[in-house]
Amino acid sequence: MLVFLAPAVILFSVVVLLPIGSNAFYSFTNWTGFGNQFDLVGLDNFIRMVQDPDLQRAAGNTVVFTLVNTPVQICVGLGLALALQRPGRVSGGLRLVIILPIAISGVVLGFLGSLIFSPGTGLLSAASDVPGLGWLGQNWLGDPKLAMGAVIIMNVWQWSGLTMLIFIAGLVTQPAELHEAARIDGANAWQRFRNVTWPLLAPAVTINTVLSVIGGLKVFDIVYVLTSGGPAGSTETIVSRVALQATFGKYGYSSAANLTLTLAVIVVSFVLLRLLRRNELAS
Amino acid sequence: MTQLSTKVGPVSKRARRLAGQGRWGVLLYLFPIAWAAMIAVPMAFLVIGSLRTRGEYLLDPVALPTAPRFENYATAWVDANLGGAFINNVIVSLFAVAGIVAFGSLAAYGVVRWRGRASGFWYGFFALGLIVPFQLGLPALYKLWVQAGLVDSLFGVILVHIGVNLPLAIFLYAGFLLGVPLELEEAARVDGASTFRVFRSVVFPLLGPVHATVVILTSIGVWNDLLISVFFLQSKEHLTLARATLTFMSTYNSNTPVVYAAAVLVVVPILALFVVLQRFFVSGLTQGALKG
Repeated sequence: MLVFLAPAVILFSVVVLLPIGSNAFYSFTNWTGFGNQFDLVGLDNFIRMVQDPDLQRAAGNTVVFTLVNTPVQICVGLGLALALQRPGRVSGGLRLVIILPIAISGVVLGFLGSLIFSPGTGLLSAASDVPGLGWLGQNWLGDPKLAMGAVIIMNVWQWSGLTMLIFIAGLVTQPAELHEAARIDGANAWQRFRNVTWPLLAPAVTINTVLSVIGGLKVFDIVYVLTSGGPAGSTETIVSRVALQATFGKYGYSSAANLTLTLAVIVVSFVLLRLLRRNELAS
Repeated sequence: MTQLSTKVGPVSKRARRLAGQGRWGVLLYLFPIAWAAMIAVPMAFLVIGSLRTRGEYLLDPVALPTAPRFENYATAWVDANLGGAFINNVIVSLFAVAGIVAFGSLAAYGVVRWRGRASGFWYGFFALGLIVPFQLGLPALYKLWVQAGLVDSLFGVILVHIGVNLPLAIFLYAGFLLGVPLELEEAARVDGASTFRVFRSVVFPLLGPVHATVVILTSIGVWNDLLISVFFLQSKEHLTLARATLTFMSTYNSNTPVVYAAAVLVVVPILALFVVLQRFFVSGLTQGALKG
C-alpha cells in the first residue's frame, strides 16, 4: 500500500509541507529573503508582530470578512439549493448559471469588479441614473467604508454556487420517506424544514462552514484583484499584508506571521469541526 | 448511485407535490432567478463590451454595440501573445490534472484500503493540506526549485500544481472509496489479479463521477493560476494566460473593449469544460465529500 501512497506523499511533502516547515524555521530569524546571511533572533518577530498596528488592522479586517461572508454565503447557498434541488430543465439551467463564476480567474474577476463597481463607468453607476436607485452611485471600491462590503459581495457572488451544490448533494441523499412521514403527521413546511431537512443537512452545513471559514481566514486573491488592500488599508487582510512584508525584505518577520496564521487556521478548523460534528450527532 | 437517484427522484417529487409546493413553485424560483440574473448581467456586459469600439465605450460605457466588432478579439490574441500562452496553459493543465487524478486516486486507494491505524494517520496527513495555506511556503519552495533546476520550466510548475492539489483530490476520492464494498476487488483478486491490476481495472473505472469532480475543481485552479506562474516562470516563452492578460491589461488599459475581449478568450475554454462536466458534479460531490 505504501507504494500506492508514495508519489502523493513525496510530492505533497516537497511542495507544501517542507516549505511551510522551513517557513517555521525562518520565523525565528531575521532573514531578508535575499542572500544567505541571517541570525537567530528568538521570539523577536513574534513580539514585533503583536505590536504591529498594521497587522492588527489586517487581522481585524480578516475576522470581519470571515464573520460576515460565512453566514451570508451559507444562507444564499441554502436558499438556492432548497429552490433548485429538484432536477429539471429550469432548475438545471439556473444551477448552471449560478455555478459559472466558480470558473472565473482572479484576473478576470478584477475586470468584472471594475465593470460592476467603477464610479462613472460601472454597471451600478449606470443603474443609479434610474430614479430611486441613486444610492447605487457610490465609489464602492474607493470608499473605505464601503470597500470591504463590495469585496464580500463579489466573494459571495463567486462562491455561493459551490455552497449551493454541496447543499444539493446533501438534499438529494435525504430519504423521501422521512419527509412524507412528517407531512402525514401534519407538519407544515417550516416544521418539516426545521425538524427533518435541517438536521439531515448537518454534514453539508459542516463542510460549507469549514470551507468558508478557512477560505475567509486565508482570503487574498479577491482582495488583491479588487482593491489591492486599499483604500487606506481598509480591505487589507492578513495574507495580503504578510505577502507585502515578504517582498519588502522582511522574510523572517513575514514567516512568523505566516506561522501564526497557519496555526490559527488549524486550531479554528479543529474547533469548528468538533463543534459541528457534535451538533450533527445531537440532532 | 444512478439507480438510487432514479428511485428517489419520483418519490421525493411526489412527496413535494403532496406537500403543496406546487402552488409556491413560481415564488420558489424568484430568488434563484434574481441571483442568476445578478451573475449573468455582468458576464453579459463583459461580452457586450468586448464587441464595441473604444470610441463607443468612451462615449457610454454601458450600452449595446452599434455593430459587433470581432476585431477586438484578433487584436487581443495577437498583441497579448495569447497564442503561445494558450499552448503553455494547455500543457500545464493537461499534465497537472492527469498527475492529480493518477496520484490522487492511487493514494486515496492506499489510504482507504490500508489495514490498521496508519490509515487514519495518512488521512490526517493529507487533510492537513486542505487547511494550511500553501502560498506561505512559496518563497522557500522557490529556493528549493532553484537548486533543483526546476525554475522557469513547465515541468517544475506542473509538479507544484500536482503537490498543491493532491489533498483535495485524495479527500474526494477517499470519501467515495469508503462506500465501495470490498467484494468487487476480492472477486478480481481470486481471479489472480495483482493489487495494482485490481486498482487499474476495477477501482479506477468505478471512480467515474469523482474523476469528473476532481477534474473540474483542479483544472479551474490550474488553468486560472497566477501566483504559481508568477513565482516560477520568468521567460517570455513560458508565459501563461493569467500573466499574459495581466501584463496586457496594464499596457492596454486605455482600450477597455480589447481588454474585455482578452478576458473572454481566457474564460471560454474553462467554462466550456465546466459546462460539459458539470452534470457529474453533483453526483461526484454527493459520493465524495459528504460520505467522508
